[in-house]
Parts: sequence; C-alpha cells; structure tokens
Amino acid sequence: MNYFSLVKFQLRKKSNYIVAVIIGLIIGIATLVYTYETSWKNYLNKDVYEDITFRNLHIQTDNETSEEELQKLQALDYVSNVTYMYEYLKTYEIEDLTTNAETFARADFYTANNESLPQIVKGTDFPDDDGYYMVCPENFYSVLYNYEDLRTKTTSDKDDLSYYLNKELTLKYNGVLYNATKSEKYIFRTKVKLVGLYKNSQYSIDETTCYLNHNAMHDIVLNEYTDALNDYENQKNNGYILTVDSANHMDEVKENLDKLGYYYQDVSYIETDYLNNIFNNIDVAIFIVLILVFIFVFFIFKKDFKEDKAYYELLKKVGFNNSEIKKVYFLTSIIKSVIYICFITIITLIIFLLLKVILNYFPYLFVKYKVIYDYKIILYTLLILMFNLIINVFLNSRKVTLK
Amino acid sequence: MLKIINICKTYTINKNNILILQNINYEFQNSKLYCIIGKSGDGKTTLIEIMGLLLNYDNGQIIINDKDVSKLNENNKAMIRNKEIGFIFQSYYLNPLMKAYENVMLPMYLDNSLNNETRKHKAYDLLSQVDLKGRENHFPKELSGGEQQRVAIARALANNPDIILADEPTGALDSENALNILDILKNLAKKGKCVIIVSHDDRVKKYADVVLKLEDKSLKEVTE
Repeated sequence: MNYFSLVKFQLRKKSNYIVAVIIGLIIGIATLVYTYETSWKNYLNKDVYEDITFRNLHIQTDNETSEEELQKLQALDYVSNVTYMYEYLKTYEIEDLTTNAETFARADFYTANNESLPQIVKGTDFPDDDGYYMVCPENFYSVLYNYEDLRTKTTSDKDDLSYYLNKELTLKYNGVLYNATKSEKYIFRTKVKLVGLYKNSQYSIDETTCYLNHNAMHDIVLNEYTDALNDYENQKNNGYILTVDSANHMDEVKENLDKLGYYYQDVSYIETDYLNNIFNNIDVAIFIVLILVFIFVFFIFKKDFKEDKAYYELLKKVGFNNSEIKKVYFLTSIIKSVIYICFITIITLIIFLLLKVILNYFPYLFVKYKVIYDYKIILYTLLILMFNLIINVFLNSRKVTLK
Repeated sequence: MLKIINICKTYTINKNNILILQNINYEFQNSKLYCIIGKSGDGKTTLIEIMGLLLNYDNGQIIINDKDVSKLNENNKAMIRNKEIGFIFQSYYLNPLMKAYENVMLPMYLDNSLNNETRKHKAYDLLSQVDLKGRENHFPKELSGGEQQRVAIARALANNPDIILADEPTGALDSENALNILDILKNLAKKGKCVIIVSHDDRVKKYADVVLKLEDKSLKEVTE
C-alpha cells in the first residue's frame, strides 16, 4: 500500500506552514545571534588573546639581570622567548620606505626568536647565525602618524614588502643623547636584512609590528646608548620580558613563576570577564529558547494529533487495521517534521544571505573580524524535532487506534 | 445478510458494570431497509458498532454473509469492515484536507489490485451516482451538509459492500436534504443491499421496510 497517498494531504494543512515559519524565524534569529557570538569568540581567541601584546609578562627582579637567569627563564615550559626589558620593544624608522620629510615609515620592533615568531607566509624565519635579521607583516602600513590611521587606511595603501624580501633595509634611530645635543653623531643607521613576511592577524595592531632577532636588537640598543654607558647599565635592573607561546598557557606559566618566587605583571591586559558574561548570557538565552521551542513543538504535535484523531478513527471504520493506522500516523508525523526542518533551514539561510548582503555594503558593521557561520543551532533543532517525534509517537501510538 | 446471535454488552464505568445489551438476536436480510429506534442511552450506537465489528462484545455471535466473524482477529475484522460493510455517520466524518473524490477513494487504498487512476475513476462514478457530478474536486467545507453526507454515502459504497450501517445519517440535515439521503438509502436497499439505520428521526421509519425498537436491552420488531 502506498502510505504516502494517505498522508500527502497533510501538506495542504496551512497551520503546518504557519508553525514552521514561526519556528524557522525563532531558530534563524537564534542562529544569527549564536553566529555573532561564535565569530566574536573566534576573533578574541585566535587573534586578540593570541596577539603578542597580551602574551608578555614583565618579570621584575631585585638583582641585576643576567644571561644565566635569562636562559633559566627561557627553559620554562610554554615560554617562547625571553628578552631584557630594555631590548624588548623599540620604535624605529625604516628609511627605505620613508617617502618625504614630513612622514616617517615607522614600525614597532619586538625582539623574537624563531619560536616566538608568528606564522611566516613568505621567505624564512631567522637564520641561525650572528647576522641582523627582521621579519615584517605581509600587510604593512609604512606611513602613519598614529594608530588611528590604521582604521582609515585601505588595503591599497599598504606596502608590499615582497619587493624587499632578502634585501637589507636601513633602520634609522636616534641615540639617547640626541635630544640633549641635537648632534648628527647620535643619529644611527643599521642595515637589517628582511628575511620573512608573517601573516597578519585580524586584530588591527600588528600592521606595523616587526620582529628583530636578538643579535640585531642588542647591537642597535647598544648603539642608542653610545656615550651613555651608565644609563645602559642602569637598564639592566629593569628585569625581563617573557613571551608565552599561547594565551592558553598564561596561567600555567604564571603558576611556575609563582613557584620560583618571581614577581611579574602582564605587559598588557584585556578585561575578559565582561565579554565572558555577555557570552554566557547569550548561551543561557539560546538554551532557554531551545527549551521553549521544544515545548512549543511538543504541544503542536499533541494538538495536531487531537485534530487528526478523527481521521484515524475514520480509517478504522473504513477497514484499516491498527498496524496500518499506526503507520499512517507515524508517516504523518515524519512529514510534519520534514516540513519544519525545510522551513527552518530555508529561513535561516535567507537570514544569513541578508547578513552577507548587509556586510557587503557595510563591512565595518561588525568590526574587522571574520564572520563564522555557526549552524549548530539548526542541528540542535533537528534533534529537538526528532526527539519530539519519538516521544509523541511513543505516547500516541496506542491512542491512535483507541476510540 | 447480517445475523446477530445472543449479543451481550456491558460497560464498566467507575468500577460499576452497566449492562447495555442482553441477548440481542436478529437476522437482517439483503434488499431491505431497517430502522432501529430507541431512547437515548438505550444502546443503539453500541449495537451498530458491534454489528460493524468496531466494538467488542461480551458474548454472542455475528454472522456476515454466512461467515462467523465472532472469533476473527482484529486484522481480519478490519478486512471484513473494508470489504463487506459501509459506514455512514451523522457528522459525515469526511477528512477536511481531502477533496470529495479523495474521501471516496479512502476505502479503496486497501485494494492493492487497483491503481490510483482506477480508484479515481470509481470515485467519480460513485459521486455521480449520488448526484454530485461536477463537485468531485471540492473540499468538504465547500459542500453543503447534504452534499457532504452524499460524499459519505459514496465512500460507504467504495468497495461495493453488501451491508450499509448508518448512525443518524439525517441528524445534521434539514428536511429537504434528509429526504434526499433517505431516498438514496432506500434505492440502495432496492438494489440488494442490507441497509440498517439507527435514528430518532420519524421520517426514517416511513422509509423503512422494517422498524426495530431497542428497549430494555432487547431488540424487537415494531408492528404498526
């Protein structure tokens, strides 16, 4: 017997589609909110928290720093790089990229080793010798007055440093005595070879962040303190900067430092509690929405069963046996579930299509981060529908054939 | 032909046993229209449902076309209902989501020897016989009460059963429609069917070949 002939009439029931649209809109909006949350979390976890700025600890010591102690810290688990505080971060002009006297091609230089460098996409990481090397970002904005410019710059303004790969660039910088003397003697230039370009994160602070190997940074800083050796020696009391390999390991490294008796501070700190509270609230809200959808669908199935009961009684009267009637009921429930699933999927896709169109015209609406389309909510809804189907069939399969 | 022998039926409500039918005996013949009358609560619907194998009973036998169906299992009883009995109800019992011809086709789905085209053709034919030609593609809500009842009659005739059981078929109809329905049922009886109607309606008695009264748990013929 073709059971579908006996249930296809359910496709004519308008209330099926009204309910499906309602559930579709609820789930579509919930999926949109969840996508927003997932995208934010992904952005924070992959880019923001992993940015080198938030993985650095300033270790303060009572004694003068020493190479021996630096190596001891370097050997700790999850520590990718340790530098002296005074060799940690400097800002220099890349003279080859400066186009006129009013603007400077300025970059921030961190000291790094191959372990702490970000992912290299062109060229290589630092060679293992005593040369002077640097790694720069793939998207590099050379001419800036301040960081605000980054937000207004377009991709066409960036420098393509591929041209300079494996060439020497000149870093220009002033010595510590330049301000006092204004003497040309304290304007220094050091040639550093650009060996690699790294992949920028989405978080817009690394477009002028470059990395120097230890050797280069050490000698450049020493140059800065020409004729000011006392000042240079004084810097040695400023402790170390320790870079952790991943934001996930920050707590473990801090624990180790506590055990060793070090006093430390986060170089930069981002307040996460507020954001985590928002995410938790969103999760709770979505959970409640799913529970409500479950209850709603349960009562819809129950109501539909009451309405369809007369049909099942009719089938009995015209000669269908109990087993046949149960199959009709089961197939009817499946068809309804399929209608709901189709509508939920279509409406959610329409909502996301609209989102894509909006983002095309207003790309900065959701800040500069990647939208991760998370369809987990649809899967949960599918489970809800299946579960409801099973429960209702279980509860009603005996009642189907009763008067 | 439908024969009931010593049919007894008790309902248990709140642990109280209520005897509705006691030793009901009768033989219904083909080509006759029977009308069963009685007061509300006397068991008329119970009796017709027992005869239609829709309701179990405590004791007795039911013989349909010389076959004892009393001991059959549920599946076989369902088959008998499909092939030998047609039902008509006061509230028509049409599926509102099905068109008229689709409602008529319903009992035919159990006959696997027919394809959908043949079923549809038969349904159209039956609707034509009850004067509903041109109304085949209408939904029940687009039909009047009388028209809906005629669709129900066409459905009852879908598998050409010998026995037609009707429970208050004119109960929801106005005079004109009620008489139309009774005309149709009378004609069916003349064509050889055994038509049994349960009704309060006095007009039915006038159409009936035999009037039976269900009273004091027993069934008796009413003589003029």
